Amino acid sequence: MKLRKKLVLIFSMSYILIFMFFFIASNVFLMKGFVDIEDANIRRQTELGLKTLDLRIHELDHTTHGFAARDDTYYYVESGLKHFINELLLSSTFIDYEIGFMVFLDDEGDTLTSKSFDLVELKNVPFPPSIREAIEQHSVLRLHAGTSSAVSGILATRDGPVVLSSRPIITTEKSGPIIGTLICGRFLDVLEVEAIKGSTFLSLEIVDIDDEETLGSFVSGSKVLNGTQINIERRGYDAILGYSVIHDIFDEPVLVLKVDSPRDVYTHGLLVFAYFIGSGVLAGLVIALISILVMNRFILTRIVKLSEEVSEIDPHMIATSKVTIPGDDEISLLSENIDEMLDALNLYQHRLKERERMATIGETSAMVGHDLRNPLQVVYMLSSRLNKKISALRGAGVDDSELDELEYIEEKLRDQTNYMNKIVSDLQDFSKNINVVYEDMDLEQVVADVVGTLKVPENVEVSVSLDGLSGVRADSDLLKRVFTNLLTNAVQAMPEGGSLSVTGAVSSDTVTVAVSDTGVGVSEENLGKLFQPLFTTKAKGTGLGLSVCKRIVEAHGGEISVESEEGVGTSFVIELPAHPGNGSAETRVPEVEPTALQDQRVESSHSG
Amino acid sequence: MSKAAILIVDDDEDILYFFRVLLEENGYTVDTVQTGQEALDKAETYSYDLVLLDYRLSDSHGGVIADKILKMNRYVQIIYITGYSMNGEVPRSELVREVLVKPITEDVLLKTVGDAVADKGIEQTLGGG
Repeated sequence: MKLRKKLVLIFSMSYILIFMFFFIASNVFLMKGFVDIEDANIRRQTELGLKTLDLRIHELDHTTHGFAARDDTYYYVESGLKHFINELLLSSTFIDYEIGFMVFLDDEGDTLTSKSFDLVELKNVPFPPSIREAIEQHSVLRLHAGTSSAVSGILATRDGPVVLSSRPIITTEKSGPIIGTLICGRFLDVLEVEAIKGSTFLSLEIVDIDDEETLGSFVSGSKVLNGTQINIERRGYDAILGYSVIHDIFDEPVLVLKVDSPRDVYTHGLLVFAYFIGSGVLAGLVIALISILVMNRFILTRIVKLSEEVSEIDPHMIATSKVTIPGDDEISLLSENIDEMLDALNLYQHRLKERERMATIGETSAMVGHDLRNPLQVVYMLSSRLNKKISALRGAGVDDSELDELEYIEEKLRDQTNYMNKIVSDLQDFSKNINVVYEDMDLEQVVADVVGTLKVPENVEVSVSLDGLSGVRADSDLLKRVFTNLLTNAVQAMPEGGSLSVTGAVSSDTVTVAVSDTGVGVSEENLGKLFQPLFTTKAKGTGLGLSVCKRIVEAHGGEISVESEEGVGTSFVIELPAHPGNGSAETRVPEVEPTALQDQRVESSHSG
Repeated sequence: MSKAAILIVDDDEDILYFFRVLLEENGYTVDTVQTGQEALDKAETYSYDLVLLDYRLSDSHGGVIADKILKMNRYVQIIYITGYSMNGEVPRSELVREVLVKPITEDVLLKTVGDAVADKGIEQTLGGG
């Protein structure tokens, strides 16, 4: 899967998970809170309805008590003279105190006077027989045992429930004897409900407990409930209802108070919840989108670019390949590292090619070198035989000029054979690893031997100054090859003549030998390539000589360097360690392979 | 002093010819063979003072032949003559007196052979005594 797809997938999954968590958590905590508030509200409202009803019954009782504990009332019952209570029976009394009916009873419980008033129509009406029956039915309403005795509450009648209060008739001073009973009351009807509504601002109803049509299935279950219990019913998102059972004087459940309230809190809660979730969703989307865009812009695009650039690299064109991701973070660092690796790879590719080339040259050289040595040997012998024959013929009467020519031929034959021998040696030295066999040697003698074999023209002056270099530890055969090459080169560099000097010095840890000529010199451009294999400025040269010198010197753990100025001369300086190892005759130093020579080549081809 | 006897082993006929001429001119008795097997056959029938042994032979190499000849005659001097350069291919051995790399000049050859024969005489005298 592509990185971009993965990123989007990860973000989507995270987003969905966070959203689900968010949704469930807010649903549980937020909405439960709103439901709790709503419950508490409806409970309080229902309690308020009940309390208001209680208060009104209490007020009625208070009024009744006021009318019953009153001397005028007392005198009326005592004397039977109705004028004592005329004032009480005025319509205004009924209206002011919200009294629907009033009954005066004597101490036997028999009715003395009764009056009924319609509080809606505001007129006297005949006393309802249902109330009379109810009073007669319950002696507790008619007879009181003590002066402070009181009965008040709700009573069911045939015509519906009423609220009433029954008080003993006593004197104003609240003293007995009790000479009768006063009952005041009113129907618990629309008017009563409106009054409660008016003082509580509640939407409420009071219904018969058997009115299943209004209460529905809900109350049939609630009948069994404790009287103080408030039951809550929710109707959809519109309304919440509180129910409470109302008991009569005898503590029998007779009515139900039903408070109806809109679900403002809950619907508001839902709205809050919706906004909450909505804004969460939106914020999440925006954040996720921005995150994806930012990651895409600053990370993904760059990784993709890096990947593309890397995959576009042509394995055959590593030298010119570059990956560039700007910036200073890990991605740019990675691209830089890849660049470095490419450079290294390029270098190694070069080296490998060089090594392969050199290996091929090496194998060929070894083979050619070996196979040329037998014919060389034969030519040597031929030349030698020829020389002897010439000597034998001299003084035997043969023409001297003929013999001189033969001698000249023999001499050239030897020169050319020597040169071939040198080429063969170079080829073989170049093709094989160099093993140094250390021995105590006299450097001065070695150089002298070499000078002795060299054909030095008359116009070249040779001076060797190597005093004190007789006890050098090195491989004399190998050093002979080095000096043969250096001195041959020096002589060849002075076709017009000049001076060749070999000087040496020894310090505590280094033996230094310099081979200087006053020849044509080497151009600055060629100076750096001088030790590279197969590099030559001579028409007649393999280009192996100096490279072999360098290998031999390095195999000794030393260094060779060159300084030159065109037209002035060239100077090679060899530095060898004065105490190489603790050298027995067979000590071998690490072999120097042809590769060591090629670094320079690669680097110079880079810079060039 | 009797003439020292030298066996030359090399697969190149011309080299054998010129070496033989040179050495005989200088008073040595010389036999020449071209293969390792011929060299062993010769060494079995005659006790040479010196063997000039090409290291690379058509049927063997110098090391093997040198070992076998030395087993027959421990006082024989062995000198390798080789087309290899000095570096590594021809193992130097205490049993081998010298390694000469072709092309070998007459002077070097005569000096090396002369020294070897002289030393051999001393060695044999000491060893024999």
